[in-house]
Amino acid sequence: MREYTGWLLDLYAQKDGIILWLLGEDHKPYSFTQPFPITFYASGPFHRLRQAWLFLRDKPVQLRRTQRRDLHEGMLDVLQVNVLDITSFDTLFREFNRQFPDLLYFDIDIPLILRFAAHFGTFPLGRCKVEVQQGWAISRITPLDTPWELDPKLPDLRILEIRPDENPSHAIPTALSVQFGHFKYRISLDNPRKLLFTINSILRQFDPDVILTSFGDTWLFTHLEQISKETGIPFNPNRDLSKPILRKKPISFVNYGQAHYRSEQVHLFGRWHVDDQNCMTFGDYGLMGAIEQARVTGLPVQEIARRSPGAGIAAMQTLTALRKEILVPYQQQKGEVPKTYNELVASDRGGLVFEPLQGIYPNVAIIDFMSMYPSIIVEYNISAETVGSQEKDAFDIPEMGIKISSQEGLIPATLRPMVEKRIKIKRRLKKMNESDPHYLRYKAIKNALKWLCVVAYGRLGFANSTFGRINSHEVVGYIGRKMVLKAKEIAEDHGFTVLHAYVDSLFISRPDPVKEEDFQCLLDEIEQVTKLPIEVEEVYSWIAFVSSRQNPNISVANRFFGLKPDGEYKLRGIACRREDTPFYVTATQLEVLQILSQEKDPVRIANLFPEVLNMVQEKTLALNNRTIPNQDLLVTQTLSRELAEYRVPSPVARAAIQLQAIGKDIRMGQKIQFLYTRTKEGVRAWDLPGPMQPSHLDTIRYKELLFRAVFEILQPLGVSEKVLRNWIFSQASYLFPRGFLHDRLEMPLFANLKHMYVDLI
Amino acid sequence: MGRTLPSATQLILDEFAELKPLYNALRRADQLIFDKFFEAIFQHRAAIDNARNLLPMEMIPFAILLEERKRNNKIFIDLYSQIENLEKRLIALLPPEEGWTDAP
Repeated sequence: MREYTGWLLDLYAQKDGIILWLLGEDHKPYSFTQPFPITFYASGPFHRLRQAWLFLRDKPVQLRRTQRRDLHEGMLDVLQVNVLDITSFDTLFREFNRQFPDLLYFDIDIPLILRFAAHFGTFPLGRCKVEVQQGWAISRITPLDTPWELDPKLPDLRILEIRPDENPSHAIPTALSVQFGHFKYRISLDNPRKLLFTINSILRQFDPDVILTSFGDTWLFTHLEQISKETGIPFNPNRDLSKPILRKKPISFVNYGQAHYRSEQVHLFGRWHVDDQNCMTFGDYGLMGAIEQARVTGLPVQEIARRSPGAGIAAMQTLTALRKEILVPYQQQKGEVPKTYNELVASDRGGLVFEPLQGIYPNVAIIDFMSMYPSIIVEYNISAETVGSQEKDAFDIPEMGIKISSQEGLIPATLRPMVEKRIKIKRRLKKMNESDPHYLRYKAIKNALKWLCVVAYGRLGFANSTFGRINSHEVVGYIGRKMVLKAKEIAEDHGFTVLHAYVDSLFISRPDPVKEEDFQCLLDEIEQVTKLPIEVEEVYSWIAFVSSRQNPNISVANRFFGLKPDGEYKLRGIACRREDTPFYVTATQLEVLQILSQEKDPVRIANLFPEVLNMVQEKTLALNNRTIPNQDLLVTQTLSRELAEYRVPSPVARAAIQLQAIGKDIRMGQKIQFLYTRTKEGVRAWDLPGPMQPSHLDTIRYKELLFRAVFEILQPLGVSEKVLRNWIFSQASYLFPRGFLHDRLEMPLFANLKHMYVDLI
Repeated sequence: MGRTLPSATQLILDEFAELKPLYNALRRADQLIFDKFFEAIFQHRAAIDNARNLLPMEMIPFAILLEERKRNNKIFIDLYSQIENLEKRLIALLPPEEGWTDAP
């Protein structure tokens, strides 16, 4: 018998079982085989199950009558079907489902790797020991760690990076930049034979575990396969050379009200391929975060890196259900607990959001419930099956007419270790110096887990969620609102002014300067009352809340900026945070903030306005002189619907129509880049061939965008729109008293008096 | 969330729409005061929402009253502090009263 210890790298189906790739501790990859049938269940009237049995008995399956537990209904009589040839599972089930559409099905659309994980306790990049009797067939596999370890031993992955020198949808690339180990090459695309020989040789000799690309899904592998056909030189980037590349179709979908487009995907066997241009949240945490998400959710790295965190949470719930031997329903969800009209009014609400006090405030602290919604789910045991309990000792919420069972639910059981891990990591990070060798890894883990925590609450109310139920979603929201109000009361009892409340955080201030330690007493009391962990996120030197664009006397909840004592900013909702803002505008707004960061005392901040105005006027001049590169003026917007659905095409739709006219495939959710022009269409798509006439650029529009971005920053500091327009566009000087400006003190226009400053005594 | 119910903001906007004919028939000077009422209401959307009442008109007057009271308080404080300042300056201008001067 032989033993191999290493990390689970990949797992996929073959005819009579699975192929498992292990990355050995000796840095060598090993592939093993194992018979592994797929099991699913059907439930329904006895005579129909009998007919189903008769239908299936001649197929390559094993059948058994048994009992399994449904999350809501308890034990059910079911027909157990073990499919021996797992590659035929999809075809077999489709045929079976067509014949018996009235049966209820369970454990159907579960990824193979999750089934294996539920059975053997393994998970992607988890350490395990494989025992082999003869050949490469696994006789035993034992997990050696868990996904919840804070410092797991991980392998040194061999990473090959390949990126073209141009975005292929905009211009034809001329070379590839290839990086692996300590080597970095630039390979020209002019000589296809040489290119393929080089890539093949790197794949053979370096034998990467991961291929990281830009545009690998949409261009690179298609291009390499095409030149392989033309030259006759074989090309297969898989480690398992018996397999071709796996391609997954492109898809448009709507997630949290936003349209998304995921291009065609290229997946490999025996190694991973990740295209950083075709991922949803990968940019926030990189490969280290994707590995963490794979370890925690059980989904393969190639899959989780590209998909939304919702898919990860769904996988975690499925895994918990499989481990607890609970049936996983196929395309169905438990119905809503009926409620009265008043109960509906009480429960159909989102998070509590205050209208902030307008203006700029010194010494502001943000106190933040850590992973608030997942913590509520865990602490108050909220799950689809625990709400609506009839138990006597159940936790009662009379306003909603709902009771919550005390027996641990499926969702809290799934989330508990993840929430605990994230809180531990966050607390460690808080005490850690940025130069610490663990810092970047912890930060990636924190961000990766944050995305999973964020969607955990939404999944409870999501119509397509297997283990969701709207009542449980509403209960979490209700408790969240109640706890924030309790925290507000306690903060006010401690002498703080609550400037703002935003779902899970409070913005509080006191006239005297405060340090983080001054809050401990407050935090302890809130934690004791709410049973939820809370921390001081940061104490800011000042925070400014931006008013509504339509009415400067009305504040808005989600646009503010705050200066930390170390000179860094927290920015929310302002132009530089929005992805449709041109770089030119973003950079200018950041420069304004950079200038303002010199002043920690908001009372003296107006002294910096001359410097801001100088800079902004220079930027406007550069725009007039056409010295800003077109690339910096690009607007990137997402196509929110299919082109045919636009009745009045927006600028992004007009740019997309231009691209469609030259033969590009345009779908909902795609990001389109364009410039504003003074032409009939008003825009020019960036990916159109040929150069653009500089005189066509709509400089007036860009100046207006610039003005709005600067006004967004100066408005909470007391500058009115009229005054700022005079300052920027009429080259007027400014005259104001020291301290805040006010409508009454708006100065008349002093044309041609450049930068005169009058200080009132 | 607003899955089946309109949000507080939407309810308030609906109320504004209903008041539009009344608003249109007011003089400009009165309309400007009415605008201030709207601003006051918008500043308390979260509280109106938290009241869990489908008829925001019942809550709206409280929001207006609250803002009016705050404004009055501010005016009173400003006024008293100005009066206090004036009194101090006035006392400084008055000749010292008999008996207050130092004994010879």
